[in-house]
Amino acid sequence: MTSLLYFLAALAVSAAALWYLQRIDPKRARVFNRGAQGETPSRPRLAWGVGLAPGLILPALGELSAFLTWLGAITVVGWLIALKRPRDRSSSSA
Amino acid sequence: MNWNGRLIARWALAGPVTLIVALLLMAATPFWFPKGAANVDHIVFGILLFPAYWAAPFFVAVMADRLWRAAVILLGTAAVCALMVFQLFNAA
Amino acid sequence: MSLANKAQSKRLLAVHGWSAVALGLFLYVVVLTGSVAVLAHEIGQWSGGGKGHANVLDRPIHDRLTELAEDVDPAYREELSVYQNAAGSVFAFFHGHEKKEGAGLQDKGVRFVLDPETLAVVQRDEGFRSDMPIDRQSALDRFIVGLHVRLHAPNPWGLFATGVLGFVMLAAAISGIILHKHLLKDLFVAPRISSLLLNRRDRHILAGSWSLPFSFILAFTGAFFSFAGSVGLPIVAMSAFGGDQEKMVEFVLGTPETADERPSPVANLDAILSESRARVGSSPTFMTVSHWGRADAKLTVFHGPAEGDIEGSNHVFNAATGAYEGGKPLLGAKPSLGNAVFAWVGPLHFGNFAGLMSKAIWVALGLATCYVTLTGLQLWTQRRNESATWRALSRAIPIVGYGAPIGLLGASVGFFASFRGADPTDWTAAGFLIGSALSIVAGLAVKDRETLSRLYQGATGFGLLALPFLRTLLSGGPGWTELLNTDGALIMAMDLLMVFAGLAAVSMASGVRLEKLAAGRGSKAVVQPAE
Repeated sequence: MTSLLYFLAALAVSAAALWYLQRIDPKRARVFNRGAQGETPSRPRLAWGVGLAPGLILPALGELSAFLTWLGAITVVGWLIALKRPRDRSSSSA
Repeated sequence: MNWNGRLIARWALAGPVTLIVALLLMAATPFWFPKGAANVDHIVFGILLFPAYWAAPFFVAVMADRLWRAAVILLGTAAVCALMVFQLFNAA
Repeated sequence: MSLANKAQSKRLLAVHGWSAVALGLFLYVVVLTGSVAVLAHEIGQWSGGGKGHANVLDRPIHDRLTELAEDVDPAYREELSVYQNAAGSVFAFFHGHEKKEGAGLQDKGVRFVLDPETLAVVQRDEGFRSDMPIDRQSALDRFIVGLHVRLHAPNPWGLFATGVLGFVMLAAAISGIILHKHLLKDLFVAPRISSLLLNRRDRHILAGSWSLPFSFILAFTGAFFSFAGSVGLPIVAMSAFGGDQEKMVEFVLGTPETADERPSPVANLDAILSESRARVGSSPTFMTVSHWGRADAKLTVFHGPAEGDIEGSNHVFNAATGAYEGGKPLLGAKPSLGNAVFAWVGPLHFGNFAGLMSKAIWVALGLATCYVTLTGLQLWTQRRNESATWRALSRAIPIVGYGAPIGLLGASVGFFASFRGADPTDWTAAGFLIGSALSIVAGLAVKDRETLSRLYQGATGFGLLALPFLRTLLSGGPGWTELLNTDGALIMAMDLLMVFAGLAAVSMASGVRLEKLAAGRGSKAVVQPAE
């Protein structure tokens, strides 16, 4: 049960980080003509660090099964997050 | 060499030659790989690494801009492995 | 960042594309059936009615095994394996090892199939392991696994074929990494819709990029499984053991010490199993007894991975005295790097280390790879849309893409329909062929792509919706009232999975297609021709 909780917590943290990265991604914004994302300074490195942190923390805790499930899950979740088109596009040309 | 000849040579290197190199790399592993704590690693890794033993020469053959270089690397590897296998085969 | 020059990129793209064109559809079938086979155990329990899902190694079996041992040729008491398959049937296989014509060293002996409730002998087979008939209870999950492992081709050719497909997938993953210069930069760029071709390209690359790590892992481990026994074992045995495969297997397994052939009664196996349970803290899943009835008899008990672990563990007992002799690695007599790596290969490929959670993720990883394969093929054919040959291949993509799952539905129907009477093994295969054939006929008859896709989706959806009913109506499997009163949660969950997947497919068939949606909402750029 604890492994499952570790996994779910790690996945939640990483999914949030990936979601944030998707929001601030410059190329994504450019491709969909969305320009800059408001005034909040973006922190891609921090987000990458947080998103990938479970990859260090879980093995360090000896939670190998949670680590491996997390690794598999983020590759699917990241894909699904990136797959969704931004809604408020005005033009779709690249 | 003309274009067709080069293409055929590259196919030969990436196809049958790569396969032979992969098999020889696997067969030679027991003779150089550290035996490890349980005295099985040299046997186990020969088989475990087979996909890598295939992929490495395959991409050498595909990526090489100068075909003869790929040929030298692949055939040289094959020769070294074959020597290892047969030399020690006879000694044993 | 550029990993390859122009000429190299051109060659890599040729490898990436042409290998997919030649073998991509086969690869798709193997990966799809692999994704389904992740749930082989669950499918076995679901299709076989879940009879006897209580673990046989948690119940008294000593007396029964002792009786059975009396009933076999003493030569076959060299080794006994006791295990339970997905459908719950219990197997006790007394065997020795003999050379089989054209196949090398194999297990040969007497296999008893026991009823999980009463332990009565349901079936007795004698011969080589590879010639043993498939347990009828398990015909559906064995069919799916057989399709994944060797495309149902005879050994070793089937293994060679899937191994080569593993190499193709490995080459596609590696060349994909080198080819895609902006892999990290494009990781969050949703597929553009300015043209259908660009959209396809983006879809393929996005899914391919995210699934790269596991495509690589699944291809590597899969190729290992295909080639380890069929190529690796004989080759390394030849170079390092003068061709003696038996010697090599014994060496690698770390089978120890001197023989002691004096007869000695077998210690109480039930007591040993319960001690093992107490030591490890989980139920055993598999056991073997070597040298049954001799003073050097050993009992090896396998336990699945403990909470939080990836690998299971083996425990050895002296089967004459019952004394615990310690844990044993899978390979070698003591822990080693080789064993540590080897022990991860299975879990990495099967995703079976953390119950249904890891299995669900592995199914998703497999399906993502299917998606990458099919979108890649679509991309390749669409770029060459002017040529009739490529248009023909592009027609084959939906036929195989939908035909394979429809074939699997056909296999399930065949299994359920024949379960009570005829031979479910043959009818499961026949059902698959019928389902596939119908898909091909539909693909050739219906010209309009859109209509065809919807037809396929509808057929898949209604097929999935029908399976829970066919399971009870045709094969006499337990209904929900019975399942609610017994421990039938898994079967109900599988039923629900079929219903949800079926509803999703039906809604896809009836809903508006994504391209249309994009065209309706998007700008005029949508209809611009590609590049």
